[in-house]
Amino acid sequence: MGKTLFKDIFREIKKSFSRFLAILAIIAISIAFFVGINMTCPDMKITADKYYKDNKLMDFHLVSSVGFNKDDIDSIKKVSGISGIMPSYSIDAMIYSEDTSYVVKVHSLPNIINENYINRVSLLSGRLPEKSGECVIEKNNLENINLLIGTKIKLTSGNSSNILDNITTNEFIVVGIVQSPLYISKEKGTSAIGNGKVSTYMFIPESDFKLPVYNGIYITSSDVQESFAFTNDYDLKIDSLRKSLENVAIERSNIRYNEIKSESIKLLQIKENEFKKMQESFNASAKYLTNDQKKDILLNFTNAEKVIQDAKNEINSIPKVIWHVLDRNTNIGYVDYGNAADRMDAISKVFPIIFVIVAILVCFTSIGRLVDEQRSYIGIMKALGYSKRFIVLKYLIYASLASLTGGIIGILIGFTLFPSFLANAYSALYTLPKLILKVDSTFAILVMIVAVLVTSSSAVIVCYETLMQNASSLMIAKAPKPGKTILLERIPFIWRRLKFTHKVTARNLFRYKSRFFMTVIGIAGCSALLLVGFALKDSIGTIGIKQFGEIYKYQMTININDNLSKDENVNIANTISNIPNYESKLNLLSKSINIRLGSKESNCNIIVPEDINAINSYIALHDRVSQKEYELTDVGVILTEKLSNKIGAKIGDEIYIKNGESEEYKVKLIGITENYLLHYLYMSPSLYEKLYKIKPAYNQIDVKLTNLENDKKYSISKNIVSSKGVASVSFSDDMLEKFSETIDSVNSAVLILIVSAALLSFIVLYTLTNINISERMREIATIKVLGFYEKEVSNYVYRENLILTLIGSLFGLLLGFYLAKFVIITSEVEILMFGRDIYLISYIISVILTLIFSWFVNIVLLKKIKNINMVEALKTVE
Amino acid sequence: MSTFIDFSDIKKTYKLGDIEIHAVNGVNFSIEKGEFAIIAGASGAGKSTVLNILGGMDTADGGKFYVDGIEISKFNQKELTTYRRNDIGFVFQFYNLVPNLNSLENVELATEICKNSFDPKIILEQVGLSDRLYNFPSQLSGGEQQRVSIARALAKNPKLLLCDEPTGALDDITGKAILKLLQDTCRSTGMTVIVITHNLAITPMADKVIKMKNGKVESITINETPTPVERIEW
Ligand SMILES: Nc1ncnc2c1ncn2[C@@H]1O[C@H](COP(=O)(O)OP(=O)(O)OP(=O)(O)O)[C@@H](O)[C@H]1O
Ligand SMILES: [Mg+2]
Repeated sequence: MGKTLFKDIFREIKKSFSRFLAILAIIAISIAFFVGINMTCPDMKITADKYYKDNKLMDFHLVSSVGFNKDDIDSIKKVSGISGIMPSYSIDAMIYSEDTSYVVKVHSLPNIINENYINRVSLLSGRLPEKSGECVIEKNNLENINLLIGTKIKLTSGNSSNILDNITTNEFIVVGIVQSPLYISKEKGTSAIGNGKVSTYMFIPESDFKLPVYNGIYITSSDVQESFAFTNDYDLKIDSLRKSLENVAIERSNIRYNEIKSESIKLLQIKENEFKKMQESFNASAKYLTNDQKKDILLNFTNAEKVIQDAKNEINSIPKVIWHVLDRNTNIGYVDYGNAADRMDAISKVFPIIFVIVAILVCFTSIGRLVDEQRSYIGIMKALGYSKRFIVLKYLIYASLASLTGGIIGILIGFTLFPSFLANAYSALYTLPKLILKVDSTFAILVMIVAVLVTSSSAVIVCYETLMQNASSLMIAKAPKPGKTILLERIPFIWRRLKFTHKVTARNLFRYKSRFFMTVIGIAGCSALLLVGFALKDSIGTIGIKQFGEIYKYQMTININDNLSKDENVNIANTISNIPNYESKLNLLSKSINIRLGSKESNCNIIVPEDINAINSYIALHDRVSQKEYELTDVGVILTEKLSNKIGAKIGDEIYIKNGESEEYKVKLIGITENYLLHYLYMSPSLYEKLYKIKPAYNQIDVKLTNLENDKKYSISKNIVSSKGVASVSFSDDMLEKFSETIDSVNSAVLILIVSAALLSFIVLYTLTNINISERMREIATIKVLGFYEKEVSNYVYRENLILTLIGSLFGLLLGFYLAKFVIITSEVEILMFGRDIYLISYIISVILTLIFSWFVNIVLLKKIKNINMVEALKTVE
Repeated sequence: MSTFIDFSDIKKTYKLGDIEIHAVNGVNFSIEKGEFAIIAGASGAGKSTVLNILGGMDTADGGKFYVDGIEISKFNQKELTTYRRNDIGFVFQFYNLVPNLNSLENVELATEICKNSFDPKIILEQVGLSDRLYNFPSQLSGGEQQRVSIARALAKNPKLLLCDEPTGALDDITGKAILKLLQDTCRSTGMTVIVITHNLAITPMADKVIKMKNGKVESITINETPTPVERIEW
């Protein structure tokens, strides 16, 4: 008996293979999508984690304003919880090629490989440096310059200093190509020289540096050997070492400060003593000197006195020594990559839902149709005395088989192809080893169980209704659904105007309500997916343009050091105004602060413009929705949009600005301004002075230039950076370019969405149209007999599809709008606000693509219509 | 009268595996314009096959046939569709109305696409359904449905009306009424009508009776004086 049942099932599958395939395919695709998108984020993170562990990426990076000496290192070594410690040198240098130049970060490569060798480079080709004057570099794709093994590289300082003060030689020969875990992102950070952007990196032997002190210490923690990067677990376990290091930092920075101070005092005393001696010898020998000689010497003395006085002043203004304990979160590669993975994860929360709904839909309709077709068979089985349970078994097995095979295929694809493809999107931006594909078997089994449950239960539910009828009524064929007057006919005004064939279409639409809803839902899902894809592109792709084109209206930003002398400031101002195409500038204060509302706290930058009337022509302060401009007044402060959301502040609220640990200033929020990158608080200078009791020290200059030519940028920035006190120069359109690169990664996510939307619409429309055609075989044969041409016949059938597709995509746009909003907000990273606008063109393209997909299904099914044999179709009894 | 339909040596063979079934095996006959012809014969004799070939729904494997002087047997699918569209009216045993269209619309479905069609309402009136215009097939009796189906065929104003057992699913009285309708149409419009039937009792009403057996024409009888349906008893 079991054997016949299986034979029967297999014959059934063969007979209606396309139906079986449809169920199988929708299950396979849903699962592939679900699993794939869910695994991409973990796979990406596992890959990076393994790479980091293999290459011993630092957990902490210490930097100090005065570098580190041997005592510093010895005292850090005493801290418990350290697994490796590597003091290192690094400098920024420039490489020139004909007309361009690049900033290169030069790192020291330790000569011994042991536990203390941190941030190990992977050798891609060639060998590591063995003697002075050899270097290894990153695999480069810089424009205009081709760095290969054997190339000679000449380094220059990029400013007025001599690079040979820092390194023993400035000519290096490339002996190997490497990859450093410090730089997995294309973005390598900023530099005080050149165009302000680090373009590449290189490693030279440690012994080629001749700096008096190390300028960085890398540390690995023994607490996190078992923890995965990017996890909370890691963040928690890293904290105790951080605390210890911070304590050492405070202690040692004080010691170093005092050392430096006493060193200077000692030097001063020596000079003073020399001076005293000279004075004494002068007094002793004064009588032998002519008056002119005396005058000269006395003048020299006053000069020397002045020098000594200056030195004394300088000792008093020796800056405090500051140590920074930096963790992986200051490594651009680490942070960006983690964010990219998280963005994938956010997407994974939404899309599978659409697929699951459609999968259920397809199962219901397909199995429903199967059972309908088998009414008489079921009737006979019942008449023969088979139990309901046994009859159901056939459909149950049929459905389970489809979902089981589909599920296995889906899982195979989901665990392999999808993550690889999605992660590949990022391969242009991040340099990492091949993606590790993790197979989470519990997850796989769980997904399979759900898939089989969904399909088999839909089979049972569909069967149940049919099985409830008695055998004799089952053996009579199910009458076709009778026609009915539809609502539209009661509006003669419209009905009369419809062409005959349109009336038929209208009737059919309302006649098969379940098909109507299923098609609409399926197509809506398709359009929604498309819209979300394009919306993602719109919102992420435009951040750069909005931030650096519309909000920031200046072309160049110059960061200057704090506490410059008046002369230096004037000098810088003069240099700036001499730039060709110079239009105007605005001085600003910019520094990092914390603000708070209730218990919600956030870090941000405070921006205080020197001239509150000019601010709006440099930085547009306005409401995103209404575009209403805000005026920066002394009444309160303006926050950027995401920042205000983060602390939950509304206009009119009082928020607190923290100054140090204990002090807080209360200010009123007077505006929330459109902003996409980072968090800012804008404040007027007089309010600043009132709160902080000091005048703002302007450390940033925003400059407007007319007609900035790309090839001029370098000479401009070189010119400015060479002035004393200038820390860095950056151009808005370079920042814009950086953002354009992130769009590439969005593009492939969009592609995935388009492909899945296409598959989705194909399966839904194929299933439903196929059923539609099968059910209406007789009707189609009849109109063929009546002499409808092929085209007319297909129109007769497809006009419904077209209308359903249109209705579906309209719903899809609505659904997609909300879905896109959700996805965009959830996939945002902390310091970014994605655009909130979806462009009209995205709606249009979504609908057009949906139409194209459904048109494609129609083409495929055209053959089926064409092949309907009139004689055969009409021979059978209704 | 001129020869309107000329069948010569028409063949149709079905292959089922190794077995060949000669459904129609060399059929010859001719029908004049305006004739009311009946094709009769046992089940499986090949009547429907002949009619389907004649109506352009099916194609022959051998032989030629002409309708109104044109060789239809060499038509391609597209030409056959045009032929069905303009020249042929079909009536089936099981009506084959579109369930989702009411009577009027079922007729309009046919008239919509051809040039010299009649007004659907008038035709429906002629078949006696003036008060059932807006009823759907499920709301009509078998006889009424068949009338709609005839109206649909007639409304196209075809040269040739082909009916495959139009009364097969109807009781005698209703069947008679339908046959009368067909005969009257033939007489009043001069349309050529071919009817397939099992029922030999009705053959006296035809101008010509073609009897088929095993895919061949067994006999052709010409009735000089056909009997009106009303006077036939069965
Ligand atoms: N598609 C087909 N495949 C195989 N054989 C067929 C096919 N269609 C018809 N036949 C065979 O051709 C022969 C003639 O069939 P046809 O339908 O013309 O008979 P008929 O005279 O109309 O019979 P009935 O009075 O029962 O309708 C039959 O033997 C039938 O089995
Ligand atoms: Mg027949």
